[in-house]
Amino acid sequence: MMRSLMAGVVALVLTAGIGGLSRWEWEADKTSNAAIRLAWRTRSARVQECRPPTAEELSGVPTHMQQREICEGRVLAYRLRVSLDSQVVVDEDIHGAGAREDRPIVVFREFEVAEGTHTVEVSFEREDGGEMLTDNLALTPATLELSTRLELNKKEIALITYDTETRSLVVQGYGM
Amino acid sequence: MNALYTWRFNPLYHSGAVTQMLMVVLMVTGVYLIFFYRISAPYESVDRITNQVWFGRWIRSFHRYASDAAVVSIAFHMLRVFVQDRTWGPRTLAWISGLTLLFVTFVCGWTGYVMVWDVQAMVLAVEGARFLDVLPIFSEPIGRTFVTSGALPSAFFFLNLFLHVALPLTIFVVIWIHVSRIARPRLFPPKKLTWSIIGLLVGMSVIWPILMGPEADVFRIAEKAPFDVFYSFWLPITKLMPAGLGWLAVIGLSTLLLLVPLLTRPAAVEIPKPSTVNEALCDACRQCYIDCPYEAIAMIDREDSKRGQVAHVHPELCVSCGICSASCAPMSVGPPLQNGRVQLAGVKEFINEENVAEQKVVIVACGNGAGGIVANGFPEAPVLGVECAGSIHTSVLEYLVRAGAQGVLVAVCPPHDCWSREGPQWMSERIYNDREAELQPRVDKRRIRVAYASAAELPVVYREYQNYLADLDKLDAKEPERNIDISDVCIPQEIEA
Repeated sequence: MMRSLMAGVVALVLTAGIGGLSRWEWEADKTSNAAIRLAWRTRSARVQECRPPTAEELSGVPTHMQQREICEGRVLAYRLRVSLDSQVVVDEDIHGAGAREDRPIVVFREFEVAEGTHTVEVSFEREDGGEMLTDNLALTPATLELSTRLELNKKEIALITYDTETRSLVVQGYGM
Repeated sequence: MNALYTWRFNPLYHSGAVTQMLMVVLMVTGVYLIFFYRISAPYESVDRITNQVWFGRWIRSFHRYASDAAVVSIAFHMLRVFVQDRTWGPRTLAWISGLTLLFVTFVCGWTGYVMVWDVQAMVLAVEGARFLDVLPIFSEPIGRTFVTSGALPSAFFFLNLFLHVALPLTIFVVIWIHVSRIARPRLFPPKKLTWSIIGLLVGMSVIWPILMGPEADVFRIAEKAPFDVFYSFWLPITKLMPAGLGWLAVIGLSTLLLLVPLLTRPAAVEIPKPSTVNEALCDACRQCYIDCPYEAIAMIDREDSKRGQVAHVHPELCVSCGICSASCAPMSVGPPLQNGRVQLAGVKEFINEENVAEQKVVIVACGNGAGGIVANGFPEAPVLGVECAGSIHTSVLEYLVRAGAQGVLVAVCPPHDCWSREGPQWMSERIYNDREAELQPRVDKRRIRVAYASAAELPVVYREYQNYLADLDKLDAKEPERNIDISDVCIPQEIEA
C-alpha cells in the first residue's frame, strides 16, 4: 500500500515536472533597450557594355547559338550611410546578393539603442554607372534619404524600410 | 525505480518502447489538431483550438506534453544504452539511427512550436535564421523574413506545416531501421505502463492545460514568455554566442555523438570473439536461431556429407552475448570462451575451489546485474560469475546441484534490464518451462531459484538469499554425487579454449 502510494506520488511529481519545464518563463532578451532596424530589398540598375562578336568567337559556335552582340556588365552597388545621434554607424557599399552579385540588393541591419529619442539619418545612394548602358533605372531611385527623430520605449523596434509605392524610405512599427 | 514500480513496469527499462508509444500518441493527436490549423492565420487558429475547452485545449496540451515526455524517454534511452556500453560493434547502426531519430524529433518539435507563431516561435525562428544566415548557401538573409512589416507569407507556414507532418513519417522509417537488427523488438511498453503514462499526461492536460503565449510581434524585442525547456533548452546558450561559434559547438557535439561507437569500442584484444558453431555437433534443432536476440544466427544447408541444415553465425551481427551457448543442448555453439563446454570446465574448477559439497547455497550471478556481487563479492555464499545469465547452460546448474550444493540461487538482471535483451527470460524458461536445452528432469527444481536484481539492488539479493535459505531448510539434506557424468547428454569433446 505504502509502495503504491509512493509510486503514485513520484509519478505525479515527475509528470508535474514535465509540465513545469514545458512552460518555463524566460526572457530571450533581458535588455531594456529598444532597437532601430533597417530592412529592405530592392533591385538596382544593371550596367553593361555590348560589342559585336569577333569572327574568331563566332567560328567556334554553331550557327543557331551565335549572338549578335556580347554583353558584359554588373549590377550597380548602393552606398549606405547611417548616422545615429550624429554618429556614423554604417558607411559601406551594398552589392547585389548572390555569388555574381546580380541578385536584388538586401539591406538588413539592426542597432540596439537606449529607450528615448534618437535622430537617424539614412542615405542610400546608387553608384554612378558612367557611360555604360543601363537598364532597370525606373525600379529604385538613385538616391534614397531619410532624416527623422524616433521616440522609442523599452523593447520597441522602429523599422526603416523602402516603400515601393511612394518609392521612399519610411518608418514602420514604433518610433513615430 | 524497481522498488517503486517493480521491474515489470520500471519506465527506465521501457524507455525505447515508451518513446514509440508517445510517437503514436503524437500522430493521433496531431491528426486531430491539423484539421483546425490554418496557415493563413496561425496564431488565431491555434488560439481557437486552445479555447475549445472540451477537446481542443486538452488535445493540444496532450500533444505538447507527449512531445516533451518523448524527449525525456529518448534521453533516458540514450543514457542507458551508453552506460551499458551497448554503442559499438553490431549496435552501431542502432546508435546512429537513434541519433537520427533524436535530430528528427527535435526538428519536428521546432516546426511544431513555430506553427503557433507566439513569442517562443518567433525567438526560435529568428535564432534558427541567424544560424542559417552564416552559411554561404543563401543569397539573401533568411532572418529578414521574420523582422519586416506585414504578415509572414503563408508559404512559410505551409513549408513549416509540411515538415511537421512529413518528418514524423520519416521517424517511423528510421525506427524500423533502428530495430532492424534485433529479434522480437518490443514496440510498445506493457499495457499497464502505457495506460498509466497516457493517463498521467491526459490528467495533466485537463488540470494544467497549455495556454497561449503572447503573440509574436516583429516590432517588439521578445519579452518574457513561456518556453518549452525540452525543445528550447539551447536558446539561452546560443543567444550568447556568435552564430559561427554556435555552429562549431553543434558540429563538435554532433561529431562527438556520432563517434561514440568508435570511442567506446574496446581495444581489439578485449573485444569478445563472436560465437562459432561446431558443425559436427549441431543437430539443426534451430533453437539458437530462435533464441538469438540479434538475429545473428541463420540456418543454412549443410555443405558436408551430412544432410539437412546447420546453424551459421554472422560474426558482423553477433554481440557475443552467449545466449546461444545456453540454447544448445549439445553445446555446439557459443562464443569460444563462453560455450557450454567451457562453462562446464569452469564449474568443475569452481566446485573444487569453493568446496561446493559443503555449501548450503551457491550463487550463480550475472556480471551486469545481481547487485554487483560478481565484482564486489558476497560474503555469505560463493559466487560463480557469468557474463550474462542467459548464457548459463542448464548443465552448469545441474552440475552444481549434483555436486552437493543444497541450493543454487541464480541472481540475474530483471528481464527488461538484460544487457543482452532476452537472457533472463530464456534462462527462466529453460529451468521451469522446458524450453529447448531445458534443465533435465532428474534435477529437483526446488534446488534452483531465480532472483531478479539489477546492479544497484544488492539488498534484493540479500533478501532473496535469506528467503531461499529458509525455504531450503524445509527440504531434506542432499548428499553430493560422485563421478557426475553430464556427457550422457552432451557428446564429449575436447574443450575449445
